[in-house]
Amino acid sequence: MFKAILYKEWLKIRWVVLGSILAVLGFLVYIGLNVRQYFEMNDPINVWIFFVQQKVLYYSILKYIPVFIAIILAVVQFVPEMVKKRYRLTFHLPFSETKSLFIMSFIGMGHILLVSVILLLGLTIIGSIYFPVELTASSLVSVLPWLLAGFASYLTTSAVVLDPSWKYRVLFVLFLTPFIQSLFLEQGYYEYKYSIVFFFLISLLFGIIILFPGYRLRKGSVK
Amino acid sequence: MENVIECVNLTHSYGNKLIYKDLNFSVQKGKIFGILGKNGMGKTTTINILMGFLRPTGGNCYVLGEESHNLAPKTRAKIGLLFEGHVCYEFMTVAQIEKFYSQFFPNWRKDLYFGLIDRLGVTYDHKISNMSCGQRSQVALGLIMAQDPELMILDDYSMGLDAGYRMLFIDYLIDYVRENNKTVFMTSHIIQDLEQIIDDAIIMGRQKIILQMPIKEFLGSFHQYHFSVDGRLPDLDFDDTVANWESLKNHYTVYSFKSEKDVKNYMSNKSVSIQDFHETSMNLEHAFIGLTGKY
Amino acid sequence: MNAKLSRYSIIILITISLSILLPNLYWMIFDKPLRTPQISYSPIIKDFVYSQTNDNNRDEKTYRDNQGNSYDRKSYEALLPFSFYYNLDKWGILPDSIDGIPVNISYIRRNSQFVRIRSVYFHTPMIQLNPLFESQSDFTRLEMPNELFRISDKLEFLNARSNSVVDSLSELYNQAMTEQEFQFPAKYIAGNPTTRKAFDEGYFIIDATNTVFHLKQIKGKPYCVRTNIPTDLNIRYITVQENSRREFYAIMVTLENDLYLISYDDYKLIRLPIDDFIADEMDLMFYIDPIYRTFKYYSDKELKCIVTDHDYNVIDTYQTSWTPKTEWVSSKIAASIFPFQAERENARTDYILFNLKFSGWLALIGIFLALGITIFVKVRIHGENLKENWFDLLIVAVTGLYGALAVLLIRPEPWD
Repeated sequence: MFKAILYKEWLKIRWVVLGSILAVLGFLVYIGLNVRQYFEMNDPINVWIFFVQQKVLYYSILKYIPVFIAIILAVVQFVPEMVKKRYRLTFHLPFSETKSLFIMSFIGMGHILLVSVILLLGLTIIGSIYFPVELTASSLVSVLPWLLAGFASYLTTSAVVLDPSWKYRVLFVLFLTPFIQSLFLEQGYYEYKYSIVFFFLISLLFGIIILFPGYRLRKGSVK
Repeated sequence: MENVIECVNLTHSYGNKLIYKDLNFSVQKGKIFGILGKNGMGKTTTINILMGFLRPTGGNCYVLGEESHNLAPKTRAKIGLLFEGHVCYEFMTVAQIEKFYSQFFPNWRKDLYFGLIDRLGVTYDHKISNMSCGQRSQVALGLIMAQDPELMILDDYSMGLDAGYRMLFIDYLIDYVRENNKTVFMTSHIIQDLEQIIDDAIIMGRQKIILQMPIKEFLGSFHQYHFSVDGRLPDLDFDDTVANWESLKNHYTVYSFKSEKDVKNYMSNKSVSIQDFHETSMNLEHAFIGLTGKY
Repeated sequence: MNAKLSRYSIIILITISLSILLPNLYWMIFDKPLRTPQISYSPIIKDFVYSQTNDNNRDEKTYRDNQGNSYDRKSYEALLPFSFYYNLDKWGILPDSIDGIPVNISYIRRNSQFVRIRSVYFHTPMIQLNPLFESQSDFTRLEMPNELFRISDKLEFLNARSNSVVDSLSELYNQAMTEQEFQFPAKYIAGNPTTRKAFDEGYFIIDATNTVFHLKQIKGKPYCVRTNIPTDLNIRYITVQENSRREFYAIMVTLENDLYLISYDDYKLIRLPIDDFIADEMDLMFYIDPIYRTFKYYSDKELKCIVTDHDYNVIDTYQTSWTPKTEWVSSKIAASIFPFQAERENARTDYILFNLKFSGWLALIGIFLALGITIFVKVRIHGENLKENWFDLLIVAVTGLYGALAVLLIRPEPWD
């Protein structure tokens, strides 16, 4: 039955999956070309100094991409489940509602993970061509909060789409985003070095937020 | 015979607005049960509770022995639901939706589904969102039939269907249900269709059940009498004898469970002379309107 | 029960978000700037003078000396010729000499230096890849080399164009360092990786045995000196200052908060006469002028100023303090409303934090208030039974206002 749900989700999200992979690859190519241009138009040593000493992030264009993809994915996954009260179909299946919701959100998170891995691999490849390993490593660490924000945004958007009442939708958006916004405060590399673990641990809580709106939907609650 | 559905002192309110209080009814195995009532009388509330999407504010509703809003997954496999407007995963094609559902039900009757689909003359990769309402209703029916459930709950199967598809739906449904001894609980706005299908009915009125009996019994015992008077009758009370009444100029129509004789006597006690007292027969729709009023 | 846990996870996340959001809003309304005085030592009156923005009229400044006399701006600046020499010259009142020392603009400029050490310098990420400049080039300007070097268990030069190690160059320098008995790995590297300086003094590198080495490039060859700086100093920070006065190479800060100059005289250390410096809590400014050495260091609540002569003998000291922000009335009120405030950034570090700053005992006020409000709303307005969902009250007892808002907005459902 997991396969059946995977099948259903795939039918909904396949174009988003394809589109976002292409988009991410496109952005990585852009970064690669941009970096290449830096080296072409300037003395390579000055380019290194620029990125190492002035801590400019050559990949800052990626900042909101995981969040963007996450929101679109959650909308494409869950809006078709809500339209015309179709959530009744899912909840009436002879399969635990909790498991259904978890499987659906794991599938979504699986895609965000895929996008994250592609981003990290891409940055590693670009870095290995142009930069010393220390700078490449710093790019991977510095990108982590943005990837984490992607997961949190996906789960928040899912909860927002699923909840039957506008009051809760607004509350979720208003009061879950300050935490997510905290993941975008950096100006240079490695700034989240000491706190990323805490942010990660707290973000784990996002993993189960979807069950509360799901429960309210199930019971016909409209507070 | 065990009760497939049992509602005990069912009460529901939306916020401060009471819909009804202490509703009691049950549905026996193998029966086709209809719920009738005007809009706003609680039909939708009741069927939502039965389908498990609404938790009643009071009382209990048991389906196959379990609380309807908390059914175990295994129990849900034995219940087939049809939602108004033939709600289904419209982003799937005819074949994809069968492939999806078949994995959830061990007794999936693939032949029943495709048997129905083949008659529609659509290709298997036809997307459901591109189908007409009527075709979608056939897909929904096919899915329920293939599921082979013990109980089917159909919420307004007729929504959006023209006469042809309505008839097609009913034909298939009756055929399937009789052959397999299924229990059905259904509502519809097209009361006339229900007459040929349902065994038992409840009719919902304001905050309570007005009537609960087999259809045949209802139609057999509910009468429509006509007469005219000289002058004017005072307004009639609603009591044991007069279930409902209408008047147009000096022509009166009285609906009653009592016999012609009883009603005549009742009228003569009102000290008014009655002429041309006669009964006309009613179909279910007329009887329903007669009982609940036109407005 | 799953949905119950889910509700609590939402509540916790909202509580955390509110601990970020609400204090931000509060301080957006109630924050005020700290107006600390600008202290200087006047060689004219041989005493401290200061300027400060007027409390009553923020567009005006008062100028006073340590005896309480007031000045207008021009006469104040006249007391500080080593700072305002351009103005004094323009007004034609620059003295010819002070204390027997002839005074003119170029002399002042040649004998002045300024160094700043801020606590944030100790808490900033920096990848240790540095350029080794040619320090005695035939050409006037410093030029960027083609490589950056790093030191781990050996020194490596990386060429920026090829992005690979230059073995020959690396070998050359490794040898030079090993000859001086440098023990890898390096613990600390300090230098100025910029061409915007008058000349280059290379890098000070601390090896595994805490010995300080001086590394430069002279006419293309490595110049590595093993200094005799004591190895038991627990050096935490070195800032290299290439200044044409050539008095000292660098300033050092130790873990014990001692400050030293590394002088050009065979790297002899000059201990600075500052005993109460706390590197993590204070910023230091070090002024050198033709006569004096002035040290100003300040924390969130006090400022100290020490003036010495050329040889760092103390001449005079000054101290002033003010109510730190934590003691303001608005902070006390904030502490009673918010049991904790989330701190993601602060001025003393470049790292992003996730600190929950607890408000101490005052928090109990806020917690009682929050509990009271929660219980009242739940019982009277929502008509809830407090025994169900009792964990809500526990959350409010710990998180005060934040938890109260979260728990009242995300209401419990009739659970199965």
